Amino acid sequence: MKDEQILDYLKAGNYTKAGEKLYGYFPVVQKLVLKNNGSKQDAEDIYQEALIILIRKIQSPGFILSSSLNTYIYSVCRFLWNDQLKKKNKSIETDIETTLFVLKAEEIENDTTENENKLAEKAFNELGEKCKQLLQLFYFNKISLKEIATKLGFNSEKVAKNQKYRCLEKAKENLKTLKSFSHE
Amino acid sequence: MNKYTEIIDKYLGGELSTEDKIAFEKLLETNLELKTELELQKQILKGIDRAGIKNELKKGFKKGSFKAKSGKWFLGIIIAALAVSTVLVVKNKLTCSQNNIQYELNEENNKQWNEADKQLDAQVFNITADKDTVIETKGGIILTIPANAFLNNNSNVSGNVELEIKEALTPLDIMKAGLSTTSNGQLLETGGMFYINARQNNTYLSIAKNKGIYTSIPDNNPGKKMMLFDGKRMENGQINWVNPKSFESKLNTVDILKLNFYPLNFLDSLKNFGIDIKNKKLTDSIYYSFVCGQDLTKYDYSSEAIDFDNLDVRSDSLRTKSVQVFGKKVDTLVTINRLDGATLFKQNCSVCHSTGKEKLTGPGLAGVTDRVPKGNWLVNYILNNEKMIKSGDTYANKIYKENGKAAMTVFEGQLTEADVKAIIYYIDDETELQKKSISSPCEIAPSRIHAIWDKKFNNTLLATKEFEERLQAIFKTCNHSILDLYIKNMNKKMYEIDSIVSQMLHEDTWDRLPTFRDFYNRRDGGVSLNEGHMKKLQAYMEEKRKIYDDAVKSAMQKLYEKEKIEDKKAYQQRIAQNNKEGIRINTVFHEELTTNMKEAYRQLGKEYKPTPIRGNYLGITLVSTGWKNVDAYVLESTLSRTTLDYIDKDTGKKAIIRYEPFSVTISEKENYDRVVAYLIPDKLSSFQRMKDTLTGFRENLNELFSYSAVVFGFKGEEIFCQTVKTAKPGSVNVSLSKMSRSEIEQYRNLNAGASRDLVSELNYQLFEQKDQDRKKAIAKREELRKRMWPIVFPCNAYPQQQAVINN
Repeated sequence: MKDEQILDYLKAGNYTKAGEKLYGYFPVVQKLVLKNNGSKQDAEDIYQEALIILIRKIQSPGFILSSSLNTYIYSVCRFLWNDQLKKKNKSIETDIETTLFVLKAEEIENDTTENENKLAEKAFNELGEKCKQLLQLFYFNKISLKEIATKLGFNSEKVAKNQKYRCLEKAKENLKTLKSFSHE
Repeated sequence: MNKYTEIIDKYLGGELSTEDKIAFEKLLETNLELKTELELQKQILKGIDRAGIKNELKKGFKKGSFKAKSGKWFLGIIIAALAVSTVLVVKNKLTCSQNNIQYELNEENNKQWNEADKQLDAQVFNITADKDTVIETKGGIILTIPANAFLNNNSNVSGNVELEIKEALTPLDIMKAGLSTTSNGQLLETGGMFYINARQNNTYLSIAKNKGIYTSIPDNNPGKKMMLFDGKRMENGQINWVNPKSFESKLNTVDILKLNFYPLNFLDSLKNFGIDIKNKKLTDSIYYSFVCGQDLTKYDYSSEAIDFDNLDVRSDSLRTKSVQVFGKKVDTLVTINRLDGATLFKQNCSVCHSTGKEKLTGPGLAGVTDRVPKGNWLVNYILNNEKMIKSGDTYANKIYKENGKAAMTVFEGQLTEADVKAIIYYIDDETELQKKSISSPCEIAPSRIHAIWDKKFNNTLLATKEFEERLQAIFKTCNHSILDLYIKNMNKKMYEIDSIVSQMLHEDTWDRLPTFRDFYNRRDGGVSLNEGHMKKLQAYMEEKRKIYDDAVKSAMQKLYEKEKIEDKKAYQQRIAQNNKEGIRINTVFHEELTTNMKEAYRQLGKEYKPTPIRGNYLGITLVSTGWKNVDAYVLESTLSRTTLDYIDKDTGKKAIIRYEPFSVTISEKENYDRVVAYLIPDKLSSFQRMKDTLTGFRENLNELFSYSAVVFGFKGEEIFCQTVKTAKPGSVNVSLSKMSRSEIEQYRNLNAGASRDLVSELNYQLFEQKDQDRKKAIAKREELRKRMWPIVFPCNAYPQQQAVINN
């Protein structure tokens, strides 16, 4: 019942409401990460990453959740964290408590496109505050340029539009730089 | 700008027409660059989406975590009791009679009684229902019963009411009464239990919900989160404790004027500045002088002290000088140029430069004149930057590199130097405007505090130690709407307001505990306040705030205006004095020169015929040793005040005029603000200044004159003086003694011309003394303002560091 409600929120794009409910699943993930050489920040990052994967799944057609939401999120988090540890030649300690309700690895596809997008997110986050606000409002919140112009204090819709291109431009440049670094 | 971004954006946004779309997709097949750009741009949109989702999730987390944390409240430990609720005022105290009466029906009008009801002694108080009453039980429970607190079948009760209390506050009493301490099977740790009911003529009364009886119970377990449970009699004779409620602490009001409503560290900083912080009138006047929107930069006095000694050499920079002296630019220059500058800027520069800090193709130009090399550098650079870069100019090459070696247009031939200057003036003005707009913080304006830090707010929520504490945290938020929240909800409980604020201030990460949640966790209660009275207070506050704002603004403005006028006056007086002094020195020198000439010629046995000296005598450097004209020797000797020793080669005759050193030292010179010394020669029409050196005042005396010397010392408004009647070569030490203004007149007797000039000189020195004091006072005040600024407006401490826009 609760799971369905959360899924509905996510489907409807009401992430705030969903986040409020989803907070309850976080402590167990945090415990997992803290126990395995991670910090609280790592736990938060992993948790958010897992939720993004979940959201992408929900958005794809024909998605059915085969386990409880809690199990799914926990498993993805475990998978992701293990992945990170592998890079450092470590792995998650196995204990009964955590193995009991974890999905098998093959049930979780590691979405590589999401990794590219992560880089794009980083490129976006490197922008100035005003750019971020502008792009976010336009592309994510789907607010009209006219409204954005008033909200962010641009002289006109046209100025906002030009500024938008400039910001996009900058984000792309950031992304190019990031990519060239990650290939090296 | 990249040529593809816009078209790709339109393509992805579905804004292209069908033909354009087809054309675009066709191009995509062949143009690899376009394809890559499209991929990148798609990814960026995904990135934005990710960031957006995360933001929203975080917001939810914050809410979720807040709920989870406040939920922990219910794990507290417990006090138990029966029906009780809230608040009210105190008038008189009652004592009680004690007996254990057994009634047939209990307060719920049934016959179910418990062991505890039978075992515990009842304390019965007879009170008058229509009066405020306070009673204290044997165990120390204090009940504050407001008038008309009781109802009989929903109608008010007046007259005598019998109030029955049973209490078991100690473990022994609890045991004796056989009271259980379980709540739905869960064991509670008890802080005591009590029973209360009220009757009139054997009818049970209920407590009016809107009144409530404010009950305080002795707390023997401080620090533990005690809660109040209602007792429900069970059939097995036990009591089940249900419906837990948190206690609230009722706040005590104190004299609001005794509280400290200043921002954090305000008083300490003032104390460090040497200000008497016990003088609240003074500290208030300082605090309230910070007006929301007051522009500090406009009146920067500390940098403009006028250096009198160097005044005359500055005529070339008069435009700049007057800019500084009167605290504003020369209006005509600026306005004329502004119009041209704006247009020219738009036509020539705005494509690549903003007047703010924002970087376009080229750097943002805010404050550019301050950072580039002085002189004509900027003009030259704008006219032909290529030339300057090639010439190896350091700064030109530096910015060339910093901006990715992007070429800037060469404007030589297109723009004149005057055009470029007009553009620079325009940029300067824009910078000034921007400074103004960011240096006008409207955080928690002192006028807001002024309006509530008022006796009128005594006996309200604001007149409590608890609010004093919150105010410190409110200052840190720099957000006056938080302050307003407390003011608008003065009749609510403190923790209720804390909770709203805490939720309003979702801070950086969703698991951080903000201060206001800590406040909320204390469960500080309220101070009761009549709704109508509160509205009146709020209206009063709003009105006062505006009045204070305007009053202080206009007072500050008047003050600054007045100072500007005084500055201007002082400046004019100095110029006048400077001119007068020039003429006077000139005259005295001529007189002495003439005397010396006559004497030299006399000694040589010649007749002196004065020849006019051409040009400016001060600039004479024509004198050389090979010159045989006696005039030159005398002139040189008189100029340098050294002995003339001349032999006429034709006649062998000598001309000697001796100059011999004289010095005056002053006892305890360091005690005076300033000291000046003058020589008064008998045969000249005015005085001569003595040179102030480390070893006293010095000057060489001409043997042809007899001198007196006068020394003046200034200390505040007082003048001290000493006269050396006959000044002879050698040195003397003098002590100064105080004199009155009228005594100045006595110098008339020395030498008519000299004394007249001396009186005027003295008056000028007095003016100078006063003006220096005035300047010092202003500088001190402005220094204080600068130093207090970040304390009063913590979020705008360094306006110049505020980034204006992205990237």
